[in-house]
Amino acid sequence: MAATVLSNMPHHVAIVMDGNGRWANKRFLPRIAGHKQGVAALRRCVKACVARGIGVLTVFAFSSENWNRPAEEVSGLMDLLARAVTSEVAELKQNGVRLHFVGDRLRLSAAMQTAFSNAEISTASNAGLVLNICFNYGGRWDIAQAAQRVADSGQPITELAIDRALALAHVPDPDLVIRTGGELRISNFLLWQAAYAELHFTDKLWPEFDEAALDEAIAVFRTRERRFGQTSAQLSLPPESTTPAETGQNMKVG
Amino acid sequence: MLKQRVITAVVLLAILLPALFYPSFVLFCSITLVLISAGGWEWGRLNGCSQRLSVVLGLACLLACLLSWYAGLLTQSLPWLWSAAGAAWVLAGGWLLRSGVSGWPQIPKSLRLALGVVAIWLAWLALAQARVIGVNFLLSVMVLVWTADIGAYFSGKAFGGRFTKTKLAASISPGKSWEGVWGGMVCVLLLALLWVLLDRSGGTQNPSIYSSLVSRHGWAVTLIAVVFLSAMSVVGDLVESLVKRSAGAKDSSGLLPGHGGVLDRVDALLPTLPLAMMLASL
Repeated sequence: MAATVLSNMPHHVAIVMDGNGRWANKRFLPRIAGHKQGVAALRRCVKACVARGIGVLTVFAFSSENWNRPAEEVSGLMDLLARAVTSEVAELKQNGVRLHFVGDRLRLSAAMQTAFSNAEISTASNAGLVLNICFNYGGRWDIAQAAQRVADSGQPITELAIDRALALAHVPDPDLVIRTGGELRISNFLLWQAAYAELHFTDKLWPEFDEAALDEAIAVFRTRERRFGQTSAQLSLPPESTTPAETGQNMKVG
Repeated sequence: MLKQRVITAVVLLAILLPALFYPSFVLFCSITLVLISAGGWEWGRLNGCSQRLSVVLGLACLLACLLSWYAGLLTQSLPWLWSAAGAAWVLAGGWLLRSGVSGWPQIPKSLRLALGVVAIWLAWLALAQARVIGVNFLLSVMVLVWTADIGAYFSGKAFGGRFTKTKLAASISPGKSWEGVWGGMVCVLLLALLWVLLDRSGGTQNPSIYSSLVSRHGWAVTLIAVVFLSAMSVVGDLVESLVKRSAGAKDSSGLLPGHGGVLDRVDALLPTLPLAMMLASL
């Protein structure tokens, strides 16, 4: 059981990378410049997670709702991501990172879909950090597509069945969800998986999110008592009687 | 005179240093815009423009910088622009120094004015990009130029004329000797070594130009690049002297009491900043 009661390091960190546009606006730069800086911040964050022995990093790069942004920003973002995916793969490979793109790919261009699968294939054998990039993703979309898959397979619709059909079934649930940019919302990110995640909000805009900010989030996480629906007293009993799995909660712990 | 020089320096540093270290680059880039506009105005005056046209040139520099800022160039990798700017400086600098003070007025005035605005704009863009990369990076380029200058001054004083009989550029800047240039280069090489060692012991997140060159191209390329940059800082210095001499002016203006004008202070940076960005982006 890796999930401890008074937790040590979070195994799975998920981040809503918010504030790129505002970072750019504050500096009189076009919004796309903020996204570019956001890619640099992500590169830095991946390295920091590798150095800290974090097992899984899931980031919210582009939501199903972001299509409604100005066309110029959307196409700029697509372009930026397509280029970043190809140019960063070598370094990710070197750092032992395994890439997964999570989200509805059907609406993406053929070139983008190929870039995604090529990046996934070439990092598939890596055993280090698992990096999930949520792209054209929405928590509700994920639950709906999982339910549909379960229904199609003819199985009864149970928590476990849905859990196994979700887009993030290859990793345990997040322990810590960070949102940068000062907003206090979940914004349709990991609705199902974040059921018991600790939430951390910071006013820092994503391009400013550095190693120190990550360490601060981890330090806050370590002070939290994770009870998974139980009482503190129950948690102080020997671990075998208090594993969250036994409470019927859907805890996937790596 | 010395007192005036010190007072101006202290006032300038009191404004520039906090702006430099301010976490966001906006403050530093904005303040340098003021200096750059003044440089454009000085350029007009040095080329015999009326006061009104000189002000227009200053505003043209300001506008070019602002437009490139709003277009997002500050955070964009521009290897082609910097390579073109670097090549232009090397070729134009070489040609200008060869043709001497008399060659300058033969260039059409409109072309001289346009080239000046472009050179000033490129220098600001490189300065701003260097600040966006990080304070350490920007400082490493600026200190290189200052080190080359100070090193040249002292080694010129100590060894000037000892090994070569010909002056560096007798008709443009009679005070400068080859020994000074060589001494400046030696000082800059030592500076690069020292800076890389400091970067390594400090574990800084944004590397200096020296560490960035060493990590990407190795020591040999770095040392050649550093010598090249210090040579080009001398070219910038000489080109400005040439223009002033052709205009019959001692200083580019009296904006900075005790120092002359803005262009007098930044002349060596004009080619060095774009070239440093070229080396950093290749």
